[in-house]
Amino acid sequence: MSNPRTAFFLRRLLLVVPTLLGATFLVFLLMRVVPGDVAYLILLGPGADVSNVRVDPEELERLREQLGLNRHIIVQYADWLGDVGRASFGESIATGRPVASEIGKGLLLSVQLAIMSVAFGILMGIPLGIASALRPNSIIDLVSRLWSITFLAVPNFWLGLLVLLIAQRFFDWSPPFGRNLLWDNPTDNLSQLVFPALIIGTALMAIVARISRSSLLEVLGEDYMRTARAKGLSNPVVVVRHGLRNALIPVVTVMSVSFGNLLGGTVVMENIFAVPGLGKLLLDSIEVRNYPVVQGIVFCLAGAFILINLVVDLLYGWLDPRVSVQS
Amino acid sequence: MPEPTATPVPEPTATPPPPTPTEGPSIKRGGTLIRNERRDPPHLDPHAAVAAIDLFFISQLYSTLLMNPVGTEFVCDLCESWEYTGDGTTAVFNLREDPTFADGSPVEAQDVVYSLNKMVGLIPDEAKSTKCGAMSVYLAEDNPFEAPDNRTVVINLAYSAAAFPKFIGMNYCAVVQDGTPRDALQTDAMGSGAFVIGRWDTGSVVEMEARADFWKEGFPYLDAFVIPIISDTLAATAAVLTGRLDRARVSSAADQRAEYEKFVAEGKGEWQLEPCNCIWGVAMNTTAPPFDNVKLRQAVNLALDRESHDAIVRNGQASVSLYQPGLWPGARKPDEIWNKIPGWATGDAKEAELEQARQLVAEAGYPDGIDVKILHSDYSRSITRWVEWVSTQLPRVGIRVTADTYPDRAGFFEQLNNFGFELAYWAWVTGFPEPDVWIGQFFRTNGSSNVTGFSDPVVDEMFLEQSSTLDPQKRIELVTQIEDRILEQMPIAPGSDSFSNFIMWNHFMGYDNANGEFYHDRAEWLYDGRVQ
Repeated sequence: MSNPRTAFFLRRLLLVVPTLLGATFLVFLLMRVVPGDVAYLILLGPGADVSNVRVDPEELERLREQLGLNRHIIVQYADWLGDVGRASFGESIATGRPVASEIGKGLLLSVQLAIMSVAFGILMGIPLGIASALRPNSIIDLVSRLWSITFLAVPNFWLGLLVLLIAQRFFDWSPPFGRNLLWDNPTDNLSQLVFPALIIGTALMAIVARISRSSLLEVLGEDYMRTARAKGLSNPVVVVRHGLRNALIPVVTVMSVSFGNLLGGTVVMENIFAVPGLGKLLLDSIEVRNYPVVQGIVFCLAGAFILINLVVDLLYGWLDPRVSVQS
Repeated sequence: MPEPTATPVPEPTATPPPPTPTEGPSIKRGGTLIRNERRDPPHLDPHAAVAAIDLFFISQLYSTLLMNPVGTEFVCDLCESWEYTGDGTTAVFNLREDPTFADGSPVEAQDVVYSLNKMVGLIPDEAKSTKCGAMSVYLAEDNPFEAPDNRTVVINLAYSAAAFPKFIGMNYCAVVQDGTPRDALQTDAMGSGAFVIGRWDTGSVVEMEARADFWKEGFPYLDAFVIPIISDTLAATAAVLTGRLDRARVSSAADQRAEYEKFVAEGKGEWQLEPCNCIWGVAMNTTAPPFDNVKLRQAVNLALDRESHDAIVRNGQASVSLYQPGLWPGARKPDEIWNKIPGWATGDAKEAELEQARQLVAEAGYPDGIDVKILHSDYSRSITRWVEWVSTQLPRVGIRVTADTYPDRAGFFEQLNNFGFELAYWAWVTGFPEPDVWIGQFFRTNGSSNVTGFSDPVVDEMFLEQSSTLDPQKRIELVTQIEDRILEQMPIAPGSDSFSNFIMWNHFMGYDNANGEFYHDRAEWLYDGRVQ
């Protein structure tokens, strides 16, 4: 390959295959090692109580056979890979519906929630970090640090419940329910997602503010910053163009990982604000051992992580040309 | 299959006419009721449904042969009349002429026979219904269901079972079209109920629309149901209090109750407390040491302070209960339980019970006390609170408890099913108050949910006797005797029943949550539901 960037990109793309296989097989194995039989749960029902604890062994066996659970695990995994190859991910063994469509529906709102949360985190965190770094140990810095630490310490679920209760008690308001997509119903969509995004965003804001502060402080002391000032550049230009750009690398790293986590990790907020997203689907599916749905979600999340990391690696080079593809 | 016993010949059952809907001056038709559910129904096959949540959907989409709107009363739904014939082992149902399925085709006897066969597992490759399948013990071995013509269904019984009509009236035992396999009912229903599925966006919302051609004239009252899927109780609470929902089951947390009182005081609607009919208790594995020892089981029962149970575990909203479900007419009243039944003492008498329990533990061979594990799942905060409560109660008599926690239901059920426990969290929904079910499942030898492995030939014998006793009063007496017998041997130490809190806006008055008698949902709605 003549172009090192293209070669790097292709090498990373090739790594996607073993990574996805490894991640999905691990989850495939783990889901079957932990106690709990999906056939048993289907016969008992998802809302089962102890009233129905015993099931007919013949029915159980018949269902296990029907679901293909009696086959060797490698055969089951190979079958599932076949479904992936057909881009269908199979059918949910709890509901019989296509997994791809279940995931697709949940993914839309989860991606939007993740994007909004990260955007809030960045928009609130970076100015706070810059203000802190430019005036270290000043009142602004102290307030900013206190603010950050507070939101790092406060758990999301508590904030979410608080927002819900305050909105209901003092403003007679609660978030809309249902799947409100941005292009179908923008008002309800934003009303539904703005608070969970803000709440998740505050935690991200705290992290971003702290990282950007320490990173910028370090950069501000570099020789090239002194040189830039000596050239007569204005302080905003020096800070934003020469300082901030270099200080952003750790922020980008953290935010990219956070974004990946948020795709499937906003289950608490999704529950509190009745958002039918991917996190809730994942949790519900794990609870009833709905293997194909869990596998499908893991596949998508792993794929998203790999993609995000690839984009971030490419971004490093753009943010700081000293970071070469070879290094 | 129980042994057929001496069968009294029942009087032919006169079928009361269907109640006439009453409309007051303030009532109007139409409107959409928005009420949440915590999850989607997994499918729409009534015979594969097992959870109470699914009943709401099933009851709107399907019809049954009989309905059981109030207490022990039965009225016809799809039938015009029904009666026992001969020696009481044949039930004959004459179908109405007008019922139709949602596609317009008539409901015929063959549909009913197919459905009954499907329920009891007589259709190849179709699973037996967990709920309705239990009635197979009442059926004759040969040709239990027959359709001599399009409008007549004959059910041949092994003996004249008192519980049989209850099964036929249960919403799980609904009628589907002849030949409809389980797979066809995954996302759509072809029932003869008052509603059809309009839109179903999984995880988000289910909409049901009234059938314009519904065969019961004037029904249903409503135009539609919108059922958002909201699993968090606080989210549902906020939604109903702010008017996004018309009706919701709300949080039982004590600090929320002022909000409900305010809601009522402002004249917005009702705050209803409905018995959950969910009795919790400590199940003991009677098949292995140490709880194969009845003295130790009795000690567990005596150690539990039911007053503190109601205050701590049930947030002060509880109704004392033994094994008999509150909906069963013979269930004992609170004044027959408190300070009358061992284990339900209060005040100083409780101290005496604790002393008695310590002696029992010593007599059981554990003078220095005993360390045991309690199996539970922690998929609900209330269960965790219950386990913490039990863990503070039993050490008072020398039974030291360690929690054996399973994070979800799957592993927990497997462990429970295999007797892999000493003590266990136990709960049962008793909204179907039929002794054949609750005694048969939990306390009969090898009962379908006999988690403790309890076995008593006397209970088994009395069970068969009550099952074929058609005299209601005599049956109640027999069931109470069975309960006394079980209490003596204490395989499960019951706690109490809780209440569910519901908030409902005024513009939907007359709707009975029917939470406990969940199989009445459809009946209540069709006959009493009204829109103001």
